[in-house]
Amino acid sequence: MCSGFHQAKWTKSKEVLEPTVFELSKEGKTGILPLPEEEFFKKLYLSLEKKIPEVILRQQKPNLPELTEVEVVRHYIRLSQMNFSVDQTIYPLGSCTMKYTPKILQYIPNLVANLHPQQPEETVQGLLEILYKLEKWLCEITGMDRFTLQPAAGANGEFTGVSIIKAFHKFRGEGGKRTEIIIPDSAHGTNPASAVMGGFKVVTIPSGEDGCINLDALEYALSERTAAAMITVPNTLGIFEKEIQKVSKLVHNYGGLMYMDGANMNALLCKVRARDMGFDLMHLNLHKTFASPHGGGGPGAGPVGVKGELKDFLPVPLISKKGNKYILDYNVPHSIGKVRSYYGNTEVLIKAYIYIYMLGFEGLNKVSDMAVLNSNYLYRRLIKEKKLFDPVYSPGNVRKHEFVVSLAEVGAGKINVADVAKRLLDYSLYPPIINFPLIMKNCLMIEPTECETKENLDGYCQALLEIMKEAETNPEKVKKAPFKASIGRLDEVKASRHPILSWKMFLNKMKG
Amino acid sequence: MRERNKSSPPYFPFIPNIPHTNEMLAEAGFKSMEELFQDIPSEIRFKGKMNLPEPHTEYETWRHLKNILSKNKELLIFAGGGFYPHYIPYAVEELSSRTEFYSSYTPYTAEASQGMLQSLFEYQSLICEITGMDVANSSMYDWNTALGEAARMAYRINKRREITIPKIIPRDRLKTLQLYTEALGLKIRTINFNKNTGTVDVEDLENKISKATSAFYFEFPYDIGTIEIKTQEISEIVHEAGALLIVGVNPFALGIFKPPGEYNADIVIGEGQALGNPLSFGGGALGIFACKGEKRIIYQMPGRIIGLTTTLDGSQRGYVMTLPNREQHIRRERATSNICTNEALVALRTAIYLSLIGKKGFEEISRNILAKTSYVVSALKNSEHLKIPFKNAIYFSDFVLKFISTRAKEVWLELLKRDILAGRISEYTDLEALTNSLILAVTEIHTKEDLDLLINNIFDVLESQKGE
Amino acid sequence: MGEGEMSYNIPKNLLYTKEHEWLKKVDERKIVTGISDYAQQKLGEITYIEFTKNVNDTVKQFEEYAVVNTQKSSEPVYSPVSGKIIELNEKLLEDPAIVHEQPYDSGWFAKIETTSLGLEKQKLMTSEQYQNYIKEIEKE
Repeated sequence: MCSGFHQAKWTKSKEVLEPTVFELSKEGKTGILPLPEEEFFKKLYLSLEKKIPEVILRQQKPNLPELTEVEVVRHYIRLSQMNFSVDQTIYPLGSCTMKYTPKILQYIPNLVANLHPQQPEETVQGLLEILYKLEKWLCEITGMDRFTLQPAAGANGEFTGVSIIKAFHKFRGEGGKRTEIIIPDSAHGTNPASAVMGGFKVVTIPSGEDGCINLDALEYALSERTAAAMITVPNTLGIFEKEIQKVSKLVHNYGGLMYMDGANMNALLCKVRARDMGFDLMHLNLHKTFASPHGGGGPGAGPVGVKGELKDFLPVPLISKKGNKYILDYNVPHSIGKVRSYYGNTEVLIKAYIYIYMLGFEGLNKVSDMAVLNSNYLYRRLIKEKKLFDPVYSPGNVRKHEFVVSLAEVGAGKINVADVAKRLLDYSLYPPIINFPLIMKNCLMIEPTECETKENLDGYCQALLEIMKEAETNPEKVKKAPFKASIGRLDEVKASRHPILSWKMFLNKMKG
Repeated sequence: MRERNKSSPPYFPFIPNIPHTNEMLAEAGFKSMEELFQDIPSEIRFKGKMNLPEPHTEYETWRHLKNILSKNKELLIFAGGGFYPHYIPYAVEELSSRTEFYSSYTPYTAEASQGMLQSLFEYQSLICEITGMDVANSSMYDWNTALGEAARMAYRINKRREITIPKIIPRDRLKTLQLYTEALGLKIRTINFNKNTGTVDVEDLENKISKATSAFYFEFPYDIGTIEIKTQEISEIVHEAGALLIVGVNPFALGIFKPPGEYNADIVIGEGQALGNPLSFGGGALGIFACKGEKRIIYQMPGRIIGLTTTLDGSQRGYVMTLPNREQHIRRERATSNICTNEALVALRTAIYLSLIGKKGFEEISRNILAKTSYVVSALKNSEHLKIPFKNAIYFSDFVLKFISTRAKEVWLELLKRDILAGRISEYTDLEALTNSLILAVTEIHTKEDLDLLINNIFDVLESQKGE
Repeated sequence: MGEGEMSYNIPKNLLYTKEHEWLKKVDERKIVTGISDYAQQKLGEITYIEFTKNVNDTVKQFEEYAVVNTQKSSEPVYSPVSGKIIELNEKLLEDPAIVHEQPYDSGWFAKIETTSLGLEKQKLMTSEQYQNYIKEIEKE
């Protein structure tokens, strides 16, 4: 399929696809100057400059580009053409939920573009209403009692949650004692990193043979030192934690809190609520489950929801309602403070609101249905090829919104999973996450989302099969892929060994 | 809300396989959709209906949103504190809306993501040019978290447990700093302010800095708009004590004033919203994070960094996410930070904006802001009802009005009635010079008429309040 | 392994740890340490090396003092003895590839002053023991 595909490739020269803005720059050119010539202020500046101590004046102008608007536009359009995105093709990165962003989400937030964060409540009632209702809906979806919308991304949300856990135990006089957070070995890397940022020691527990939490291992790890368990449901293997009720009970018996990493919520919308599984607090990734775009890596939003007994620890302010008025509520008695500036990534929050408003309960339910169906459809197709794709954990069981398979050793062990991933690009398909979770070797982690057509899923399967066949017959070719992307295989080792992290560093390097 | 005609089932244009449900279930060997969820124990399986909206068409949604958001009110903004109104060229909107950027993920597969990678490399490079530093990462969430991360990084570098900051930093930012450093047991010490210049009391800094100090952090300009003159002296004091110097910037100040890189700062942070990004009620933030190019420092940086490299055969230039070993997906609990998703699209917008205004525009806007700040400050200085604290201060963009006979809040409210946002009421109630004050800001978007309108309205309010 | 047995250089005169560090006695109070040929082969291409301790810092036996980074992982390097770090191989910071070329020679990591080798030696392996140890690991 798509054998005629070629990604756009601009070539300035043999060595350079598209020059940097610095190379394109020509002295004396200007793009957009927002100001007319304001003689009055120009003169005023010159008289002021004389009064400024020379030691603090900038002597050398920054080396910013000098380009006209036309040139800047062409430059970034060309760059955009050398970038894969989900609006072009399937983008099934596991745990990333690369779903389609309805176009209306992109334009509505412009309506709040000119609101300053220091504006008083009475001038932003419309926006606060949206944030207030969004919080109510998130509570409904998860069973939590309150959400803070402040965290800027999932990891920022985790840090918020971990800080709340700490404050909670401290408030109960157990701060010094409860120093550990239990995390399964299949967890996202952000979980242990966030726990440590909050001052906790991480106790990693191994997954059982079915890929789920091993209750014995959990019980062994639990103690009066346990502050919380951070658990992803479904886990990163795409398997629902079937013993989740027992897990919650055990953790609670030891006085720990249950934290849910909600990154994989796309599998569970309207199916099961975090509260009913026994969780006390959690974060959601609005840029995953609720269709805000990823923007090449952000911005995101990672609201944190808590049960009633934890609400007094949330960051300030919350969005509350007083009579008919929406307010920024600073009355949070034991608040952990602020996890970032102001109120959150507002634009992302509005997008999530729109998404929920459009789909409603019925639509969200359908989202999880079809995300899980798409995932299982592709999963079952792939594991039919027993010799090639091995699910390792509980092959017969259903998967949720994503699944993981290990690749058989093909091509006499000459190729690895990264080679397969790169070769997929030649089929116009974005590769899945590879080599994660860390408990599986040489694996692909695939999350098609509800937005992929059946044809695309079939095509993806077909392409993987062809590549595995090619790995036997012509491994050298697979190893050299991609051929049809904008550029060939890049030297990541060189990038790390001899870091060139800015144009300035590049120029210095050239000078020797 | 209108009743939906129950006879026409809702359709969901973003879920293409609904008509193929049965076919796909059968092919995969399932009898029903329910079978796919049987792994969820029935006791906890959600049954019934959630209190969520009914489905809506795009047109219904559009009307609904327009309706709600029309309840907001746009004001004539004279406010700053990290977030500033600036003009954003349409080219920034157009280019950053390119769906190839907008709907892409973090560029893990470099060969297929050269566009985003090169754009972010250019962002890093442009930030380096402005700040005078060697290296920048491809963004933090915002200024607040950038400060938290910078303090943590300083600790990793010198393992000292005290961070020193001026008395004047926004309370919100201080709260984030406290939360980010609490687990490391970092002690935060504050340095007094000089009553004449509205900048840090260097003598107090000299007294309080010691071998226990991990870093000294100051802002340029300070939160109240004053410009630090003794940057060189501060830098020497800080480095003499073996501590690191962290500087937080309003990037536009660096069009006129010496960048922190030139006085040997180790880490530079700041808020990048001003560089081509909408205010959005504080929701389009961008944490600037730059530092020196020494390897021991680079290895301690938080967040994603894009590096320039070549193809494996060495023949072509390309870009990759690099030094991943610092990050959570590899180093887990030993990572330099937990950050994963950042503000990539905002960083992209910033790169486009800086490329558009270029060398000339950046300097002109910077000069213009200084001139306009000075214009307003001079005009108001002559009033008997207010004063501008710190008689020797140079104000940039932000500035302070201290009221003598009226309450600052009343002035602020009265101006609000006239659709003018006169900044914020000073939260520095423990500093005599800054009690009963407003902190306002002007930028290049304010014309002389806008500024005169502000000035005249302030005079007018003061006059009318006096009369009462 | 598809390409047959890998072979590793395990010099006779050194002592080894389970985490694949080697130790060479310089004199009664001084040792040199680094990572073994097995370690450098298994790690894959080293991208950079960090020292997490400084010269003059003390280390306990099996305490981390450096980190070896490859494109996919970050592995701690432990001290084989307790003592005081008297020198770190700064050359590795600029050119970590030396470790691949000469793991036992110019690819050394640290020189450590110690008085406890006599006692702590028991927890280290001779070259023969290490050889067997590797064989065991390779079987798995």
